[in-house]
Amino acid sequence: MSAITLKRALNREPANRKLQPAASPIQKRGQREKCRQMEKREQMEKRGQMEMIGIAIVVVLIVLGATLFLTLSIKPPSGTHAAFAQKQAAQNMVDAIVRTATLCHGLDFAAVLGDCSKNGENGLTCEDGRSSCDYARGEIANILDRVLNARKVQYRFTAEKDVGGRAFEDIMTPGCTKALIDNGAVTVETPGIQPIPLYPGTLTIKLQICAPVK
Amino acid sequence: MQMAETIAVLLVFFIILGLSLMFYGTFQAGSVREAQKEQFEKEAIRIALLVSHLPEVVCSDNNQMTENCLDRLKLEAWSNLVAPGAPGDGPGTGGDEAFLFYQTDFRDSKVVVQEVFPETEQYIIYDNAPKDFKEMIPTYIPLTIRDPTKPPQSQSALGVLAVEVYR
Repeated sequence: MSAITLKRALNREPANRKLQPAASPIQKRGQREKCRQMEKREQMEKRGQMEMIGIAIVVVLIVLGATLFLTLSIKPPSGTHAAFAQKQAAQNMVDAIVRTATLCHGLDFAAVLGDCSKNGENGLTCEDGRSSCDYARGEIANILDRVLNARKVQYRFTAEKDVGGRAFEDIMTPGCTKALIDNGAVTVETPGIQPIPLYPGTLTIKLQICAPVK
Repeated sequence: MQMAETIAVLLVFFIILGLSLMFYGTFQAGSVREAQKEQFEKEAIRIALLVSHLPEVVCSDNNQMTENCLDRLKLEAWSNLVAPGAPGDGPGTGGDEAFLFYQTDFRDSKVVVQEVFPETEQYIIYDNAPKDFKEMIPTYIPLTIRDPTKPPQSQSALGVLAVEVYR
């Protein structure tokens, strides 16, 4: 029986009043006191429940706030230097290669590559007995190996004519094949590109530097 | 009774507040570290670009500078002037004085130019690498090394500018 029901029951005039002996004032006071205590307990229980709900709301708000804060604050690592280094290495390498003097008739790589593209295996024969194509491919592979592969950089070097396909076979590391690049298994920042005029046509040398997908 | 309740509520409140502050502090420390790393990366890029465009060593024709090209003669002169233990070229021009002059720009770093093709040679142009360091960012920039004393066709060699920045 709740305190309110008990209070109502106490205040109500009983129908069979005459049958029951009248309660003494001391008894009445005791009953009222009991009723008051029950009322008080019920009120306290209600207050406790309210407080619990309040704390639960506060906890939920804190968790929501923390989640929101984390979502908004977490940024991917900058990678500023990696992107810069990759771009610089690719473009500067092709620029430097074409300007470099070779030991093949004192020509620079642009001229040796041009001869290879125009004349193929029937072109110049260098002092060491290699054809211009073999010399260019061999020495470029050697340079890339010493500069990039020594620093564990994955790369793919291509020399393609606008008409007639490749000047020579691609130079690449196992982690930077055409298949891997096409499948998106590796990422390539801006590749280094250098066109060499052939009259007629153009030979385009391209250096791609591969990085694992983040 | 009410006093105890108030104390309990305050205790819970302060525990939650303390935990939140701890969480925020840890997170902020991570963010600060990330920002420091980014700043360090930018510093490495700045030093690498500064060295590759330094008028003291860059190739020039009639006062016009050539991009991505270093002059071999200038490199040799520089390494005699600034490299550690360099005697300098007369009073007040070399050795420690020249090193200190460039230290404000290059800070804790090591700058080396390596010739890769057709010959292999190395020029240390600045070395202030600390013995104990937390992190090192290397930057490699391929470029041309030109020797103006050679015939025009065989002047250009291929080299790498290696800049290591420490902290």
